[in-house]
Amino acid sequence: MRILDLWPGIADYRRGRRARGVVLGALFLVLIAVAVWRHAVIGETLRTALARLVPGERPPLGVRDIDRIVSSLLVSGSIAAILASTAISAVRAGRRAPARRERESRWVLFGRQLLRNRLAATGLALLAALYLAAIICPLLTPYDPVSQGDMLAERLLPPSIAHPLGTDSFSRDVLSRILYGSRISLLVGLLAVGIAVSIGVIYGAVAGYCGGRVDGVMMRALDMLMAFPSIVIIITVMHLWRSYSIWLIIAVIGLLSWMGVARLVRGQFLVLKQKEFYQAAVALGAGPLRLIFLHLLPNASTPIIVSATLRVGNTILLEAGLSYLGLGVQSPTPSWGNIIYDNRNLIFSHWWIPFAAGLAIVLTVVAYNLLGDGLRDALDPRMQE
Amino acid sequence: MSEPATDSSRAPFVRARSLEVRFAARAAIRARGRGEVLAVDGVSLAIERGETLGLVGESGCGKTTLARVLLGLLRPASGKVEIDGRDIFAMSRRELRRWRRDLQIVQQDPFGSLDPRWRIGAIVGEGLAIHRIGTSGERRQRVVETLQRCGLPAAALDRFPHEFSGGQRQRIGIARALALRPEFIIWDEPVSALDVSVQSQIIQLLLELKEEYGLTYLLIAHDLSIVERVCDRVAVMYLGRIVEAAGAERVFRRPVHPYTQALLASIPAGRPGRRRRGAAAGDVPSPLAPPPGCRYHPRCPLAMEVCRREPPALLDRSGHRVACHLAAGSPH
Repeated sequence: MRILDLWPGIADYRRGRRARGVVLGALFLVLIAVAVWRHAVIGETLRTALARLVPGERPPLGVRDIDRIVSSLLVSGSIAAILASTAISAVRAGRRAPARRERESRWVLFGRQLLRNRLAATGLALLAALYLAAIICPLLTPYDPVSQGDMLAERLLPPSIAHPLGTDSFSRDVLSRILYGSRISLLVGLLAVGIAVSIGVIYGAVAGYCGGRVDGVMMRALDMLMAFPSIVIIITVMHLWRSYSIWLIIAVIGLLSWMGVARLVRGQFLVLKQKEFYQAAVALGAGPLRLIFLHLLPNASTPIIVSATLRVGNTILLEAGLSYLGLGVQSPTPSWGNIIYDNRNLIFSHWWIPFAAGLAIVLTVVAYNLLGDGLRDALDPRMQE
Repeated sequence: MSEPATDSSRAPFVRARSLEVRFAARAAIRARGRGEVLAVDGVSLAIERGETLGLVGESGCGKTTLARVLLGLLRPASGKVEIDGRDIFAMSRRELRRWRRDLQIVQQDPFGSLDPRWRIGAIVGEGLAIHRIGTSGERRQRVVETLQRCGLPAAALDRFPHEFSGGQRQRIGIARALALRPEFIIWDEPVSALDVSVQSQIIQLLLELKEEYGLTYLLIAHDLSIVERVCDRVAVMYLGRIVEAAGAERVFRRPVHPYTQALLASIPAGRPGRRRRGAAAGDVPSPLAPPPGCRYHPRCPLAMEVCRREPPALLDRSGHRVACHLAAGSPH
């Protein structure tokens, strides 16, 4: 046992659990860096939070305060948890407990395969960084993304140490707005695709499992739905509702993009139903639930996961486009799309503002596509030795 | 056991009566009376308890379709399947599922027949789990016993199908069928995808299991040497119809139908350089447009005028059933 093993992940890496080691070690490094960099903010936040536990006068908490408290707790809590688990496994290793014969689960194999693919690993790391930043952004930037600053002294500042991406025409820190804006984009991407995949899988599974006439009717209905241009429907719905709430956007995008998933699942089911192992399960007397959930869906999961991943990128683009058209998230709440929209007149004088927001969109979409491609390879059973 | 399956006091264990199965030629578009394939055309057969019936024929002649009907996986357009005197297609879904415990299949392709995402223990134990037989510990015990009986180590339990060779996978497939302790097993070309050296081991296992558990078999094969070794009776199928059926001995010694003779002639064993008369020439006609009359007549070296016009009936002569105008005309 070496002193180096005390750094989380290194012991795992050395014991052959490389993927776990790398992920754990890198995460810990990032968390420690943030904690050291913002120790003053975290310390103060936690002290204030602790003080509130003592009975007495309690000033009301704003959304930003809660945000900051959650972020601080998350960072410090994760550091503590990682340290604790490392310490426990170090002690266990010291005792030389007989190692349980590890049966390599599919997930271990799958993780190894995924990380072996450089591009996929890059995409995964990028996404992890983006989501982490979105969650703990109150710690990464001291500025409020919404409230306006000194209109005379701080308006349209060029990039500097204090404001790495300068300020916009309302004297707000651009980096803060992009960081907070990532919450919108990433949330929309995940949730809308979540809705689309849930509906699509159910619809496609019913059509594919039943087959025959049911399948025919369901697929023709699907064709009709697909014939509507979704962007037109979205714009109409937004206008009719007179609401630009983020939840409405998520729901509408989700409800309009499940058809592709349904088709995919249905096609997979039709193929799988011809497989001998499916016939064998029917011959054993398996009922519809067992057939669908234990035989068909697990075997159809690879294309579903891959297409869902690729769809997240598209959905983020769609939301950005809507915000750019003024139909999405409304200012002053920042989103990547409306940052570009609000600053479109500054594209020549302060080009870095729309450029940075655009870069964020591109990075996210590219990261999702890399991950999707990597997943396709890693989940292919033929790739597993 | 080679007695004819005519109506006796005791009904045969498995009986199919004039089964017909049709497939639309293009599954996506509902065929309106056109482009239909008669995959199984008026097949009747009977299997006595404890007997092994061999079903022989070229690929595409409807053997596997017939097997799926007998298992209740496919509903025939007309006809009946009776198992132990009960019509399986008249049963409720629930009843049929319960019955499936007794009817099992061992499939041809050892690579496609096992769910790649399941561990061997789960695959073999699935039938037990479906029918809620025993506690999970007892099920595990039964799975281990069955695996070992089929020649696999208990350590196979936690592994995945892709870690096994073709022969081992076929043993896993056999264990899966056997775990429910069925009475009737259909072997759908169980060895045709395997190496020759492995084939005889699997056949040996098949024979031992029958002895041990008193099973009834339907063996589908196109390798006649295996049929000869294993089966009590043989039925020969051609383009959806049974053309000859009799005790294995009689079929192999004195085949009557020209198609059976051709099949036997294609066995490579025997004296080289000498072929028995009438080896089948040409390909199987398209089942979409089967020839009129006797379906074998375009390939038959002995075809007569009547063969082109009238389909021959399957006539029973002291237990030897043949559908051929030649045989009908002369006592053999």
